[in-house]
Amino acid sequence: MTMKRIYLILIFTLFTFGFPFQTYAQVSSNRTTTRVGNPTTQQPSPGKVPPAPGDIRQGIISQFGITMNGFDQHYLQLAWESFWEVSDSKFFDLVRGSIINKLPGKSGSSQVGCPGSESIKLAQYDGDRFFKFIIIHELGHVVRNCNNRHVNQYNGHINAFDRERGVSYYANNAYACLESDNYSEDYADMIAYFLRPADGVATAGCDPDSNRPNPFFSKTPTDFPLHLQIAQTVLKK
Amino acid sequence: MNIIDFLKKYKWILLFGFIALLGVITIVLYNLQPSSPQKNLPVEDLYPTPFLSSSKDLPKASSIQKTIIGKTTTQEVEQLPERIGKTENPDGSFSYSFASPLNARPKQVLTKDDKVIFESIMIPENPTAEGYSKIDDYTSHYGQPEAILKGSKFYGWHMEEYVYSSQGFTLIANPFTKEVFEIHAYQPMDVDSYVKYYGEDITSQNQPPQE
Repeated sequence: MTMKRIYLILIFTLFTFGFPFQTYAQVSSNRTTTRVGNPTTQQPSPGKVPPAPGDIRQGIISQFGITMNGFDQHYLQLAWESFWEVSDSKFFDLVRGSIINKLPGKSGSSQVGCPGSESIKLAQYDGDRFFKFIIIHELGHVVRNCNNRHVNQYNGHINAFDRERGVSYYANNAYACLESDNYSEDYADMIAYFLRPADGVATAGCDPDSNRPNPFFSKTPTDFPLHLQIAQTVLKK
Repeated sequence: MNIIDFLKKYKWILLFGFIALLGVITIVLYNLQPSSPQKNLPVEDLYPTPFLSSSKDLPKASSIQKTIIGKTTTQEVEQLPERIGKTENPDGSFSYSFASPLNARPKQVLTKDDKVIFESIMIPENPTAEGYSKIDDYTSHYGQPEAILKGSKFYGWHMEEYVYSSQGFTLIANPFTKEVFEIHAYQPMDVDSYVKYYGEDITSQNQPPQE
């Protein structure tokens, strides 16, 4: 057999066997998009964000009790703004002491523990609005998993979900989207949508509709009165 | 060039190509094959419930436990309040469901041979309510559990099951807050048997999902 034939055989075999693996490798990709809702009311009021101190990281620790490790100045600035915008609430009573460590890359986030130890891993996402939303969503998991149930209205929330379904596409399809669970993602989205009334941002890129309004404040009355009641009980001062 | 010449000239390429194609078809068919984990299993394995191994009374695992394992009869269970369902299982056991603080997760009582063999107890979330408990309430009395199984299908990846199977109970609890959410009471058995008979809530999905 000539070298040319061996070469042709090799190319043919590699192409044939290589194809399925190539397809598999392309499955995961960017899965986050930034979406803006169309709120008609603003509650709780975001208030005015004061200028960030020179050492923003230390300022966030001093003001909110949240430690952010490894983040660039720009993302610390976004966190500073996002935290101020939701500060007219009991939120920081429930998440104070959380430690957020930067994930490498432009996407990926998860709640991995509770205040006092590594609580969240978070990437520096493209999209300022999305970053400001997702950091509150992840801390929403801390509210649910790291506080006693009578404080975070654990049972009431599950019953609200069973009555009204989830407040977002992701909350209703969490396993199919990212192998998470609906109750957990619905709770974190409930916290984030309540605290950020101007946002209709979708947490996960699996949502086929890129233009959803905030589920609580885009129309009156909301389709999710039980969720709203739970969020108010947990977060309103 | 006619077909014979073509086949002769490229016989090695065609041979390897054919083998490669067979390989791909094999992989595709293997992946498409539906899983059938419970083929021809006896009824006892499809709906496993253990037999009562002892007539000895077991202490209650919680003050709000409704029954006594191995003692409370089917007739007594039928008279308990807030019953919302009853199912006869193929192995002759009965599953009863009762109203719970979580609509999606009713309390369960299982009877077999006219005696209760299992009860799930939903622990209230209010710290002042009767039955509210924390993990330490049990470790201080019973010592460390025989096994800690991470992950709950219903409650989430962060939950843990504290198995005291030789004592006849398991706690489903949040290790971060130490709150007990649910207790399973059953006749004493080893950990593997508990997982086999009553471990439907245990999941391998016990790591935080990345969003």
